[in-house]
Amino acid sequence: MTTESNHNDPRVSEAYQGLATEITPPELDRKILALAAGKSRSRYGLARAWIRPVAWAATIALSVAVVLEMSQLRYEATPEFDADSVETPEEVLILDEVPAREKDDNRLQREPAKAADEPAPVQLSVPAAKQARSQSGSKPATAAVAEGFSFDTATTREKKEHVRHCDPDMLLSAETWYRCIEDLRAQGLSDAADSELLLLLTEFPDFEESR
Amino acid sequence: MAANAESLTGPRGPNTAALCSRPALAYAQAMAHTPDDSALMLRYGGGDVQAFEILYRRHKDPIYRYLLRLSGHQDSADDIFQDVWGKIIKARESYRPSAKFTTFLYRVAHNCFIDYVRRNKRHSTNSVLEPELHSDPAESVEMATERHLARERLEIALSTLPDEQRDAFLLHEEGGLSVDQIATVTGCNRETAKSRLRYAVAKLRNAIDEPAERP
Repeated sequence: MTTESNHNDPRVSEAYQGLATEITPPELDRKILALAAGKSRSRYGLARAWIRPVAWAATIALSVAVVLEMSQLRYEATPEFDADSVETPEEVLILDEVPAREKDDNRLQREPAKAADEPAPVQLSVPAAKQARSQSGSKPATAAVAEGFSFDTATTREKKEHVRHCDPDMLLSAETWYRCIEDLRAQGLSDAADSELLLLLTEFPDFEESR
Repeated sequence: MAANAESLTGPRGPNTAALCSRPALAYAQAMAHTPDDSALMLRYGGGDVQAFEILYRRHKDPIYRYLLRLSGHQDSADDIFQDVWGKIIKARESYRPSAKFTTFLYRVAHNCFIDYVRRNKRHSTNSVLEPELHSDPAESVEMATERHLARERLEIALSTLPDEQRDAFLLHEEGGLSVDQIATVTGCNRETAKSRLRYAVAKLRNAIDEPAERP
């Protein structure tokens, strides 16, 4: 008898195969097949190959966007002392003035042509205003303006302090603004008065002539 | 289902073709056109549920009988059977056809049985299955009696085998596994597996030949 026949007896196999006729209960079949179908659907239903990478990419993109946004907010909230990068006070003033000037219909009606030629206030700077004024032939505001306070040489801090000399409500019209300037001069604040006058003339170029 | 009826039949050991009512050649031709187990498993991993159905119907009964005889209790066999197929379903995406699918399947079944025994310390494999289980109502009284006695002798002989020998015999008969595959499934070397199988077959042969001397 060979080794193979020692562990492979046909009679034993036949006897076992003839007797072992049990089959799987149908309830088990149903359970297993339902489980197989359910698992396959739940995992295969939504293109499982790309849904996870897309989820990761979306998470990373959102995180980067939030971090960038936070860093920008922090940058904007930090005080900036660089004079070149800080908005100058006169620009702030002029920007604040824009709505009020738009409401000044009478002035536009009086000199429509001049108003049309006038450059936008937002774009005006003090040196440009001076130049425009000298080209138009009108005389300089005062000698003090030329010799005293100068926006070209003033520091940002000085400019900011300068703005505070007149109440913003008084800057709405040339008359009230000039009254403020006179008050400053009466108080002995001639430098502040001169710088305010320069701004007044920048904003209202025709004021000197009408006065 | 369009699957060939033969493809739904599980392996019946080395003498399957001889026992089959159809000629061996026709059986082989039919099997040649059926998809491979590993291919079916890979198709199921890709979402083809019908591939799993073919695979399941091909192996469910041999696996069930293997677990039934290994555990000796129908309830235990039912539990382990569900556990086995649950693990196969779970492994559908990680499955790689590095070995024969049958070896993989019976290794899972073997490990599930070991886990079940560890979980249920009271489990005993010495119980004999009910002889009336799934009996054919069409047989005559004499045939039924003879079948009942033969079955009882074999069941008793099987139940008295040591666990390792019974495991090796059932893997050989139900799974159609070779000695090498039995060694792989049970985690022993080839000589040990062969020895276990040889002892099991010898004891069962004695039980069949000398029914009067059975314990």
